Amino acid sequence: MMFRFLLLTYIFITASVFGQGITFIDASQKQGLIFKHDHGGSGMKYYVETMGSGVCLLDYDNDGDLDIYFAQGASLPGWKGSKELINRLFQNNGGEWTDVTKKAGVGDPSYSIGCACGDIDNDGDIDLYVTNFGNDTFYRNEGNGTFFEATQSTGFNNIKWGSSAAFFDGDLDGWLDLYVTNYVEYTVDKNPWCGDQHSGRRAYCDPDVFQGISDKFFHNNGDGTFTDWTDKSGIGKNQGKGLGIVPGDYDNDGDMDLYVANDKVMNLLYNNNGKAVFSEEALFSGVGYNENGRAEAGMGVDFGDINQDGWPDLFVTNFSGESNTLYLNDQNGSFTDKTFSFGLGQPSLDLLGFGTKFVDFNLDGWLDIFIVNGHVIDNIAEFNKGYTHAQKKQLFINQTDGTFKELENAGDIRNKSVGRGAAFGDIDNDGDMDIVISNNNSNSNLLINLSKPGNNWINVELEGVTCNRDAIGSKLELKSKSGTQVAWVNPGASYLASNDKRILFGLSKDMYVDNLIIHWPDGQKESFNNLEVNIFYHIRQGSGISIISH
Amino acid sequence: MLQCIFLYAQASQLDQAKKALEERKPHDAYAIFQAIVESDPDNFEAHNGMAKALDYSGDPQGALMAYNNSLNIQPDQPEVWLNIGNLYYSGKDLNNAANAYKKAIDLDPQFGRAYNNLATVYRDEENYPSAIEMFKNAVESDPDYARGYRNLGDIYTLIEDYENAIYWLKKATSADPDNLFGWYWLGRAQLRSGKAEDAIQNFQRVIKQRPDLFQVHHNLGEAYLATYNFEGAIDHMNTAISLNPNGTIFYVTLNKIYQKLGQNELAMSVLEKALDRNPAQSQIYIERGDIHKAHQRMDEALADYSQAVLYDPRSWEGYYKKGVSLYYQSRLDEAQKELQTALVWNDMSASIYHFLGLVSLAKNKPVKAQEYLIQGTILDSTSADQWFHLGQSYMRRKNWEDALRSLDKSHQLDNQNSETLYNLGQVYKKLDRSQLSRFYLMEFKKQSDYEKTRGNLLNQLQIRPNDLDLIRKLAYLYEENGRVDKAMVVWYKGLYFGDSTAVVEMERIKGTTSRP
Repeated sequence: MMFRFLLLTYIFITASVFGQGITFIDASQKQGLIFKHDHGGSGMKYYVETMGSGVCLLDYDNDGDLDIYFAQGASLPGWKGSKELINRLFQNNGGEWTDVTKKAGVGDPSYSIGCACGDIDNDGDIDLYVTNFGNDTFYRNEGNGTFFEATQSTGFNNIKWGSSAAFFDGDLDGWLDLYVTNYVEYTVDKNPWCGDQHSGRRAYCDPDVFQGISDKFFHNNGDGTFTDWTDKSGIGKNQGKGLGIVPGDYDNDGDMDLYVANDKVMNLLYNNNGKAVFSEEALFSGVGYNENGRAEAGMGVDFGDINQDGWPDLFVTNFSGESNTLYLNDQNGSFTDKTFSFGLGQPSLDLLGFGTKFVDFNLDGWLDIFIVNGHVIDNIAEFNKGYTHAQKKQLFINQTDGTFKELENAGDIRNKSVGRGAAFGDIDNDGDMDIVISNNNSNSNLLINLSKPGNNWINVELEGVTCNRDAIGSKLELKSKSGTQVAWVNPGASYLASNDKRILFGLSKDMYVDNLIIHWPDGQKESFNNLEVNIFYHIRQGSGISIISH
Repeated sequence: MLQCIFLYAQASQLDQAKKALEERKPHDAYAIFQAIVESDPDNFEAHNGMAKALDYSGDPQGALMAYNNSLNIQPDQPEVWLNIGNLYYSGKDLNNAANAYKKAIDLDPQFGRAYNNLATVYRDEENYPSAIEMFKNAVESDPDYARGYRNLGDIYTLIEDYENAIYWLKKATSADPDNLFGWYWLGRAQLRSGKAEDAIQNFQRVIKQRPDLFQVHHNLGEAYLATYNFEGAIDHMNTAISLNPNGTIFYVTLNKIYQKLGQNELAMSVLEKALDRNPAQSQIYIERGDIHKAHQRMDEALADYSQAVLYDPRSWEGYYKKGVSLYYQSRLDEAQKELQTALVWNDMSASIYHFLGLVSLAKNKPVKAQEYLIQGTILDSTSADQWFHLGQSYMRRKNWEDALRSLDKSHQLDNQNSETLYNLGQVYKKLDRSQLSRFYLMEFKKQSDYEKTRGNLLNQLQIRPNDLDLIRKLAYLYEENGRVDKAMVVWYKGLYFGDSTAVVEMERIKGTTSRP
């Protein structure tokens, strides 16, 4: 009770002081979500220390709320720590969190980097893939609150340095396939000295020092196993330095394409022919480089229709000194870098972006952008006083006129941290989007959205029947008084993360939804009219719509 | 008879006075000339002598009056007009000096020195065509007038017409082979025209006779550097420093040689040495800042550039470099302020406008950027990079036609500018010319991939500058991409660091041996 009172007081103060209507509070301590990432380092600047870690939002126990899975590091040579470093699963108990790692059997002790979630066997429970520095791990959800480690038996064999991964149905056969980005060729026993020889200051190496490697694509055979289609799909032709992955239908042809953010080499845009054979189009589509023709250090990525033209636009977070990059979909297979003219350039220049997502935080019907920042070089201030290791998070509000404006004061997002993975979802099921952030070598953040902007919304969860059960790749067209919005079911975005697969539509002051059309990935289409607002809906393919009460 | 005795006595007095002048005893000379004038007011030679004596004793106004008195008596004196011109020239009154020289030439159209001095006035006024014409008149009037040839060579060097400079300086050295200036200036013109081998010979000729001339050692070092004889370059630069430890430029050049070799620690130590002698050398701080900046030590770079402007508050370069560093640190407001200060001290630098344009682009002010970049391209129309950014500012405003024009210009100036190639691809896409778009994007990709590989090698060489394997890889990369000149430079570096294969590879590239 006392906590609730303090919370309300806090909301009142922040809302009245800042007057912006959007307020986040870091509730991790209060709610008992205690996860501290440990990069396992000892000052030797092992390159792998800088990357992690990731975080996933998944309703592993099917109780209707989102649980959280954190990827954890592992001890590296010289590490002096004593605590057990394993990945952690926290069960959401309505504002309290219980560590169920051991019980669920998902405590991967590997040097974990990121995770991805998807119902690979269409059995109604969500499975979990963990990318590691070394062999990746796959956990099949047994449907009883536990998982079974089934990496080899399922056919996953990624032994490289995996980073982000995403489930999607590449060949539209109704089963989720998996794309795993791999970073660089690196081993801790060959850890070069990098830094400034003049001053003797050691620093983490630049990615240019290491050789890039190809990503992996695993095809779901529909029988609980996967086959490595890296070469067959055309993915294996390219050697990037993959960090971020987002599937999305950029050409609106009904299948999910892929965008891969690479570190200081050309980003990749894979056009899907509908059969999970991909042609790489980044150069000609204008999304391989920034407007100067420079390959940037791409980290987090997301697709989303920011200008309500029905086509997914693309956002990539990048290194300090580079801006993040917004590519606007030209609706002809091409994109244009609009970063600076949309006001997203200058504010990102001195920050190093990682997790990111298009989310309608103020529920006005227009997608905003959230970015988690944090430098990779822990002693960056020794090299450049203008930069800091821990950095603020950023929320850019869509001004609906082709520009974004940074919201400077939105509660605890101001607090600096060494942000990496960020997963977005309605964690408290209150109709707005919350965020969980994994910070490198430090405590995580649980940013609960306490805003009361007074706008309406609906939340839609899809369940595929003849398509993949998660309905990943479905396109939703919503018509209301304010206009038409388009969204895609696509939990695989951001950085080393997996997000809430439900779709949240902000509706401004609209009192009802005129029409909602679902374009299922298998080509089926369903339409629903006159939906009431501020409600969670569940739509089962071919079976109508129902209301979920939380 | 008396008249005869008087004239004889006067002549003797004149000789006495002239002797005193020669012995630089102007007061004694003046007294004698004055005595002559008192007894013979029309003796214009005595008036001239008085003028010279006054000039020698630091009274140019008095000298001018005396010359005028002389001309009132005898107007037909071209030498006197020359002297008057010289007096005005010394007083920086170029207009009156030119008029006086012209009078001298009117009186004696074959007066070589008058032409020479008139040319000097024109040169100072930056009226180079007239200066050249007058210098030529000087040597035509007096074909043995070596100084005229030297001056002609010098002015051609000044206007960077090295072919003519070398032609006239060679004439100067023929006319006066003993004059070391002729050989030295000839060497300088040859060095600047890329004939470093010839320059080396001429500098060596000078040094043989005058090993104490530190400036010549400096130029000889530069010539060795131009021939990639790094050892020779370092040697002579060190000699220049030992002969004149206060010569800032010598430290600057030696530091640059070490930087070319990737020996940045040595470069730093040279600059430290310069600062040990005199900590108030703005240029040294700028050089040190450049090394820091190249190694991403932006705070140190900024600190050095700040020192540079502290010691020389008019150093536009210092402010400019501060601005550039701040720009690269994304501190745009501060960058803009520094660049605008730089502009106060030098509004003719295209680079300052260029970076002001970049700051404006980063601040999403494409119109302002356009203004700066247009000004920049007016001041320097040869910078492909600047034309590219101008094109980019048009692109931001969706002005595709003007963007295309600017990018085309950039491409004409440098067809390997990857940024330009990329953006040509983007603009042609906007103009629905997809074939051209794809063509430029493919060209871009080739160039971009090459630059990436080169960048990686250069980064590694920063850490291990004498790693012969890396040096070889870089040389081969340049060669494979048609940059044979650059490949040669890298092989020279390899040679300096003791790569025994370098000579063979260089011979192969020159075509004297076949590829192994």
